[in-house]
Amino acid sequence: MKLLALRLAAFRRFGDGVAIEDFAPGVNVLAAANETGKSTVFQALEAAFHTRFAVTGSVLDGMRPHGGGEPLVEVDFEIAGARWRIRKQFGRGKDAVLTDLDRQAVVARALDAEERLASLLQLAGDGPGRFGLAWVRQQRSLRAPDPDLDPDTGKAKSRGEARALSDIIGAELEAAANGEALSAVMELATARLADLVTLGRDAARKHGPYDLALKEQTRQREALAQTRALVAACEARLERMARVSAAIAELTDPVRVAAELADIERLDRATAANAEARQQRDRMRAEAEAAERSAEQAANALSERDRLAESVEDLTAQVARIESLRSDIAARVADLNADVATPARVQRCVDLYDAVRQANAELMSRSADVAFALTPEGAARVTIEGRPVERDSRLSVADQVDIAIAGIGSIRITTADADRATAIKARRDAAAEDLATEMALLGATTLDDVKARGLVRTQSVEHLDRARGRLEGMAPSGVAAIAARRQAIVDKLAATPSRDALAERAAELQRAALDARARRAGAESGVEDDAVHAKRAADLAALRTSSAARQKTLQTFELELGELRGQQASIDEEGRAALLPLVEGALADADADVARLEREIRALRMLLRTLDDAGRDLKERYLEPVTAAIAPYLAEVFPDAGLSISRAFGLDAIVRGGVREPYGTLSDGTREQLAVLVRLGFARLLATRGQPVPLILDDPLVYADDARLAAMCRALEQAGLLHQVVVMTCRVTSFAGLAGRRLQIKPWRAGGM
Amino acid sequence: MSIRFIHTADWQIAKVYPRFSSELAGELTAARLAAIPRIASIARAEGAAHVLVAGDVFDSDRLETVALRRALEHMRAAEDIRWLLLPGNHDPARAGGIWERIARLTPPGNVTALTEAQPFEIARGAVVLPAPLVNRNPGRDPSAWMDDAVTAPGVTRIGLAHGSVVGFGSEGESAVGIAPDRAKRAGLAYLALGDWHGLTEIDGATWYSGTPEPDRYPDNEPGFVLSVALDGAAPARVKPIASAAFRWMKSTVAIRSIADLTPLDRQLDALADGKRQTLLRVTLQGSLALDDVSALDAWAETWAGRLRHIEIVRDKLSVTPNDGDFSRLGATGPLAAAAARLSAIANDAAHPERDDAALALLRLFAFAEAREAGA
Repeated sequence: MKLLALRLAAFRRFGDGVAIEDFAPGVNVLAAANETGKSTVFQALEAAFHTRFAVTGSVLDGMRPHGGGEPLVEVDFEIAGARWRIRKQFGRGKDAVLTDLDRQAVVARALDAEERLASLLQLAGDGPGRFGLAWVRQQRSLRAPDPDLDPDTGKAKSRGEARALSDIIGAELEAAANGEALSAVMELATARLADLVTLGRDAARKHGPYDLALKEQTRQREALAQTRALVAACEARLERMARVSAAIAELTDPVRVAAELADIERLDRATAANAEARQQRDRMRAEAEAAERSAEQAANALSERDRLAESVEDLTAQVARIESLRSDIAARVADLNADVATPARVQRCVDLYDAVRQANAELMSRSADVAFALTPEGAARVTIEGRPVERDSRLSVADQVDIAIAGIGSIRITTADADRATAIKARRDAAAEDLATEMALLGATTLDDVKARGLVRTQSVEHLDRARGRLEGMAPSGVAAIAARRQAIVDKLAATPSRDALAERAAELQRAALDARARRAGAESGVEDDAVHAKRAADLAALRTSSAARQKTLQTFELELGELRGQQASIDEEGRAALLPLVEGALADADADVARLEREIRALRMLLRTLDDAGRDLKERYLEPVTAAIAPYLAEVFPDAGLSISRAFGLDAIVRGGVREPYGTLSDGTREQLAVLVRLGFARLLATRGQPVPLILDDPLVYADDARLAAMCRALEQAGLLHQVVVMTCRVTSFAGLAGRRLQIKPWRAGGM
Repeated sequence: MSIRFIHTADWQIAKVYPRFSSELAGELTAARLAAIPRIASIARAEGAAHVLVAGDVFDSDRLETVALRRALEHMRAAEDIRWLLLPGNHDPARAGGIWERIARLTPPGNVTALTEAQPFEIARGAVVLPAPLVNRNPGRDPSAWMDDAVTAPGVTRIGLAHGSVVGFGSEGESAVGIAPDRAKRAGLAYLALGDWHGLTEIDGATWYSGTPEPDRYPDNEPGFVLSVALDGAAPARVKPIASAAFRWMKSTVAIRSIADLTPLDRQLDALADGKRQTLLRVTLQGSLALDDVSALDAWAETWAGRLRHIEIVRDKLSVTPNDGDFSRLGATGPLAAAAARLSAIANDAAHPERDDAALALLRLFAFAEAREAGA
């Protein structure tokens, strides 16, 4: 198919009619500034071929110009040498007219025209079919050239594009049928695998057979662990029972038990025997003590009697001494009473003596001193009161003296106080006389005698007093008391057995005590050493303790054995431990199930892997024509690069220098250029298969640098040799180098339908 | 002095069979119990008053009590027979163990558990010298005491023991060793042994009776009891008597096509009525084409209906698609390519994934067929 002319009116940007009348069979370039309606031209072409004339709603509204009006599109085109015109009036007065330009005849109108057009274009279904492969809208060139993507939404939509390619290629390839078989088998295998595992994640599908088998396996493992634990517990218990039984047997070993009993009995007997001896000894000890006490008492009684007897003697002697003292005192009292030298008298003597002496002294003091100096002859003649006077003597005269001189007369000398002196003399003389009398009475000649007599008497009195004191000391309560005491003792003695009797008894008891002591000594010798006794007692106690402990251990063991028996019996009754082989078998089954399913999973995965590999070969063969068609253009722009095309003819990646670069990771420019190259390939494929469609690019290659653009232009020129190419661009200079017809938009007046 | 008795062993009452369907497992367990009255009948027919069971009377010493009671009741029912039971490694006479429980159950008067190693007079002039096991592995020859066992002069001494005869080669399942010349050493007229499940004569006076009822696909000859006649110094006269209810068969078949099973078919047909009591395990070696695999399945199903049980071990059987199988996948398509690749791996004995590949191949054919059927 080739475009010949396009005319439109009341269509989007163009309220008035415009026309492009001179499409060339090769490369056409519609170069114009922005907003001159290039895209409207593109859309008008789409509308003419792919939009039903009866369209309403937003599609219709989308075609209407701002100023309103009913869109009209008319396209002249050539297919297989025949020229046609399709004219579509949208909106009010809608209609479609197909005219055979060669015959200048309308061949169909309205729906018929649409159907006829589709048939001419070899379109099946509503989509743009192969035209979609080669018609690239503005701003769409960046998108990966996936056929069957809705250019409006970018979503997959059946536009018949891939189908168109498939049809072209598939017609040649019998492998297409195999591809279908492969897909079907893969689907079945995938479905089977998906039954078992969640695809993508390497996990069992929940509630699927594999999941159930795994769960069953876990359950059986747990059951086995439980049963094994139960069996282990049984075994342990039986083991314990065996040990306890053995221990009980050992504890109740008759030989051992008998030996122990014999030991205990022997020690017991020995201890009992010794205890008796000790008792006997204790008894003997008590008896000996008692005998000794009796002997002592008897000895005491004897000595008491002796003491009493002695007391009597003492008291008798004491009474005698008292009597003697008393008579002595009586004698002394008599003596004293007879003695004249009473203290009063002695004192009187002393007083008298003192009075005499005092009187003499007084007289002396009052005396005149008469000194005699006499011749020897004269001395004989001088006397006083008849007594010669010493030749050289002195005389004191108290009162008067009469000195007689023989021969001569007398001389009286009288003192001044003679009278007094006389009186004193008289008193003195009286005292002297009394004194003499007294002294005579006392037989004393001197006052010292008197005093001696007084002293003697005083001593006698003192003696008496001492005697009296002694007496007092001897019998403070009187002699009678002493006598009474003595009498009491005498009476007591009289009541006491005779000394001989007592002495005899004491001797007798002393002998008894000696005997008892001897017996005690005998008993002592029959008793064993305390240490030995204590050791044996300790041995016995230890033996008894160990015996009791063994009894207790035995009881404990017997109790435990009983308990274990009970537990074991209950387990045995349940018979759960016996289920072990069954549980093991169940786990083995579960394991086998899991293994079987895992083998199934592995096999299915392997099958899918192998099928996928086989499919990839097929795909390569299937896509080979597409890649072959693109190859010359690719070589022009990206020498040494290869393309990876998906089974749906989408562009996946470019492979450069062995490195695969996914489409999405490429630069905007490269992506755009690749997209155009793929479209070129599609168009080439269609052209070489006898179904050429014009390649229409709306504002392409906006990101290309000069070198790439030049290469792209060469590719476009190459394409122009095979089929029509229409490039619409606002970059007038950029495509200046692209050889081809420059299209002009000219005003057009729409005629009637 | 002449005496006749039955020697049997390894009853393993209440053994369970987890690898079989619960129905069959139940029958197999019941068959072991049912061996008791069968043995009683044999004893009567043989004119034997005593049955000596040489250990492993019970499968386990952890059995539920009702299982013990059942066994005892079966023996009680045969009141004219004296049953002498020896503890074995499955049912050792340990403290708190199964024989204490049996004692508590007041066993019937015609049942004696020989739990002590001491002479037991079974008839005037005949004593049994039992060698009971008191645990699973006593670590010594339990029959050693028989050498020194004192019996009255002229008395017939019958040994009863459970374990493997040392050096005999076909060791039993227990780890208990028995001197091979015990009978001679201990002056035994006969040594009745248990543990080895197949009927085996060690020497003229020493025998394994084997188990009266097989319990596995055998490597030996189970399913007998021995009728033993002793007469003074004359050699023991020992007669094996078949006692099994079930026949366990195993067969290995090298197979290249389904026709290779024909000899086995004939062999099985010859069993006549015995088929219904036969358990068969067939191990297949070789390879089969895909078509023959379904034929094999049909064959297995046929015999599953005729026999009591059949199991086919296919581990060593490989499935090889033939040209016809491959042609169904298309001559050049990717399915054929995939099948060829999988087949190559499946037939590569050294390939680690060969089993998986074989299964994957089967699945591929199955899916392709399903698709065709669906299409």
